[in-house]
Amino acid sequence: MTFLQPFMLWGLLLGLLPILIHLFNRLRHRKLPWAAMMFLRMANRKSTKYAKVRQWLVLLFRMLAVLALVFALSRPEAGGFLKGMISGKPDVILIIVDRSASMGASEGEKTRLDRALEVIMDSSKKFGDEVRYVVMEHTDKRPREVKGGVSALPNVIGKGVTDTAADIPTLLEAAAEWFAETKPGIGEIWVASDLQSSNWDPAAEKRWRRLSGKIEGLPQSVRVRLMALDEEMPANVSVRLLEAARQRTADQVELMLKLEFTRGSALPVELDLAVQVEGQNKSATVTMEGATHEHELRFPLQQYAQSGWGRVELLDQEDGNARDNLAYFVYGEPIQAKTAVVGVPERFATRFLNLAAAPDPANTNQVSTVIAHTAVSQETWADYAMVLWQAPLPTGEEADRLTEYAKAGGLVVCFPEDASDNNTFNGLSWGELKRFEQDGKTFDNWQAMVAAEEEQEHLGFRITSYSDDEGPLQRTQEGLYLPVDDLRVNQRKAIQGDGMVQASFEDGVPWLMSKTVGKGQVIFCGTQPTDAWSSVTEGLVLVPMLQRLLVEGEAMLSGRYVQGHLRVAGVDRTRVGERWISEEGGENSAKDINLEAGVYRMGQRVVAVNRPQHEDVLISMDKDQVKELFGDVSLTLFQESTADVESDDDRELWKAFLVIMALALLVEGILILPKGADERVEIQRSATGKVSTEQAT
Amino acid sequence: MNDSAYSEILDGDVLTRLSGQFLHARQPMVGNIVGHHKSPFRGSSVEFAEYRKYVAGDDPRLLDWRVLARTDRYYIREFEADTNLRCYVVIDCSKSMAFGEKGARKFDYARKIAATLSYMLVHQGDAVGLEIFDDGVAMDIPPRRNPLHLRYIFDTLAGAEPRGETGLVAELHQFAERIRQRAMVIIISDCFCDVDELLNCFEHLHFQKHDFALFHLLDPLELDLDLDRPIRFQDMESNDVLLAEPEIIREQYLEAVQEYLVKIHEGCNKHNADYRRVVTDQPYDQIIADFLIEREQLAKGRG
Repeated sequence: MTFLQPFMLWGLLLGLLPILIHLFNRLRHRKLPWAAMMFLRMANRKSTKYAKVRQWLVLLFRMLAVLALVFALSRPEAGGFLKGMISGKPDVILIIVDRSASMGASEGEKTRLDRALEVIMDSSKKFGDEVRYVVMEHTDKRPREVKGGVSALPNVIGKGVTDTAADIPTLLEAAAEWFAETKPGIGEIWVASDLQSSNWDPAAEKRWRRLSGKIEGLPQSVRVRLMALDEEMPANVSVRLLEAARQRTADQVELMLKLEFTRGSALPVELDLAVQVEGQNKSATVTMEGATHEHELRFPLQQYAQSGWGRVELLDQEDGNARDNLAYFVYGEPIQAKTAVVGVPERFATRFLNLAAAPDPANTNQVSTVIAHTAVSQETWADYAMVLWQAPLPTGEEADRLTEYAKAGGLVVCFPEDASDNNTFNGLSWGELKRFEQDGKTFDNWQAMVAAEEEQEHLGFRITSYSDDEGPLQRTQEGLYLPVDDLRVNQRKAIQGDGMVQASFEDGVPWLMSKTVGKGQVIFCGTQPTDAWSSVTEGLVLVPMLQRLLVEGEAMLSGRYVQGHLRVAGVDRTRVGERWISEEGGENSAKDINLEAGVYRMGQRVVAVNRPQHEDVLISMDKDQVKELFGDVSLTLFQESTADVESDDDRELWKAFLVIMALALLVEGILILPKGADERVEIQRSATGKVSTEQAT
Repeated sequence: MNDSAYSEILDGDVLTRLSGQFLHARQPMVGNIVGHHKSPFRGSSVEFAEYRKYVAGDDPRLLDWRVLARTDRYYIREFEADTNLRCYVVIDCSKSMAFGEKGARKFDYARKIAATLSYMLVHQGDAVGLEIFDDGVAMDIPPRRNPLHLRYIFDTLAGAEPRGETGLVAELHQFAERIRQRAMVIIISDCFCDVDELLNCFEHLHFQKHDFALFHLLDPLELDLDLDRPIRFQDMESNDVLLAEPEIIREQYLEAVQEYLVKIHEGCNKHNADYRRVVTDQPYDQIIADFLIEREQLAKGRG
């Protein structure tokens, strides 16, 4: 047996009260001179047995009544054996409503949320208004008391599906805390959810063990009823924005949208899209293959100098969930593609790289700056789309700052120095300088090497393997290969480390290696852009390679803007006092930035809000998995026993103790009841003798 | 009579109300002068008693000549004799008579009855004596008819105070032995003594052919024990102490009292005692009036 108000058990000491009163009464006797002592003595002798037994019984029942009252006030609960004996309605029902995007799935006109609300209403009507109702929605995790009973429930529970994700463990923790704090009596937690795996987080086993222990350890009985809306979901395709960036091509500026499509089936399907860009509706068709499919859409931007927003809508009339058919995006104003070339400004390699990074600064947005190696400590790398490092590898604070830049999405391309360099940067380092030799003869530069070539001969370290389908050496949009094979490499430094090899020499030594660091990349190129090292100075390979990397860096820079303006509904919550207005609905729109996807504006700032990524992952748990999560907590599925209101769970026993108290008082009353008129000893106040005459003899 | 001197024991209004009544004896009395009570002997009153056969030595003047002429037999015609009576008022003066919680003190009540009856008896020409017992004989005043004797009785009553343990049983036996001639005996007591021994006394008195009445005085509290708190009861005679809770023992107490009263009542009936249970919150003049009326009705019925 457990107690909801255990401190009331101190009141058990009051059980001694009848005895204390009895003793106190005996102490406060008064003295009375008495004549008829003979009767008192007789009565005392007679009463010693029965009267004393009765007196002790009266005291016992008085104590029992007090103890029963104290027990009732302590609100005991039946457990164990008593568990199955007593049943009844709970005192309070806390309804947890999952209004996440996946609850918008529908078959017919009703969404899962609509059906969940119907089941809640039907079930709550069975309990009636005698039960307290408290509603907790996943959107605010705040218990709200329902004033007005069952009929008021629809007014308290939000009817609309949101674009947020539910965190069921957190909701249950909040519910358990509420029960622990308020001690409302026997309780039930009703969970209306579609068992979406990402919302339930079954992988967090420790957390679930803690949670089930918390619910199990509550002073009162709390059971969980699960309204699992996990029936077969109709065919559904969702669209998600992965990336939105402004990109420069040869003759225009484009908006690049990288989208991800998800669906249950792997069969190829054609998807019609409506894309709103710069206020204009455009259509697109995507052929989807597999369960998930990434697709890149490009739209030319007319208004180069302005930022903008838009949305992608999936047009599918028979889609299972209309909620996940929308993806919103924003893009920023044009940025300068700045490149920092770190090295000795006077050296050829430095100047060459500077030129390769910004061949035509007057007509493009490309700008390149040479920074002396000794002056890099003052530089803010975040302003650059790319950093070309023609200097000894950075160490210490320099290396840390550059790594932070790379992690934030920056691009660092390192070239080797003539001198030996034993430093390591992000796990990559230079090997020994190696010069090409032929028959013991070396060459001063690649031109000398070419001059020494005979017909069909290719002297120098030859690059035989490189990735031409992706990366900086990939084919052009026209499908042309970069002349990597034709490069003449007179000197090289091996690249050591665990990066991804983009190109390598005949003997397997890497020439170009990239390593992902955070959101950015560090790239090592095994030759220096000087004639003594290789023919990259011709520019046929290195310039396009750097230009491609620069576009990538620019996109990252642009993406950083976008990242700051892309929000996740329910996760990136607004601060107090912020007033965001829907760009689509305008001032009068009731859309809430914290709950619904869309584009919102506050002052000059525009953000796009989308569903959380995991909300599109439609993996559901089965009921057995859910039962495992709850451990020993009493869990009932609505589907199994919606009518099983009178189950065998724990009950409060205070009523039983009140009955015991009443019975004890009743018995006590019977024991002290004066005898009835027919049983009572009635003494006649007046009596006269037989008055008769007696004749004298 | 000086009213102020005896105001505690006599009430002029009561005496006035009772002045028209007469205390009759229930049986013939042996007196020494002519009075209002029947005598066991034949006398010269006008009231015919019986015929008796003539025996030698009888006065021939008492022969009924008419019977002789009719039947030729000799019969003597006898008449009743009227005489006065001697009444002994016996008062229990033990300490228990001082109890009076709800009503008057029992002893005060007893004094009023005794004084009133004494007054009436003397005024109807009978002799009154007073016996006051505590644990022995506290006062013994032989019966006299003289009104001055009445003052002596009143003074004695006014000056008496309850004391000591009751010696009623022993003293009544001695009293029965001492008073050989039949008389009226009025006992006023709470009778808190052994019932069987008390009934032996009554048997003794009955055997001596006394016409005796018992005014059994009880305080209302003694009859209902209407107390609600634990009480340390102190015996008024022996000073013994008994701690008891009236609520617990009331039932048994009342049973014991009931048993005692029934026994004493039946004993009185058996020994032809005129039993009067008196609760001290009752007006004593009413008690006396009832006592007189019953006896008068009895006397008329007998006559």
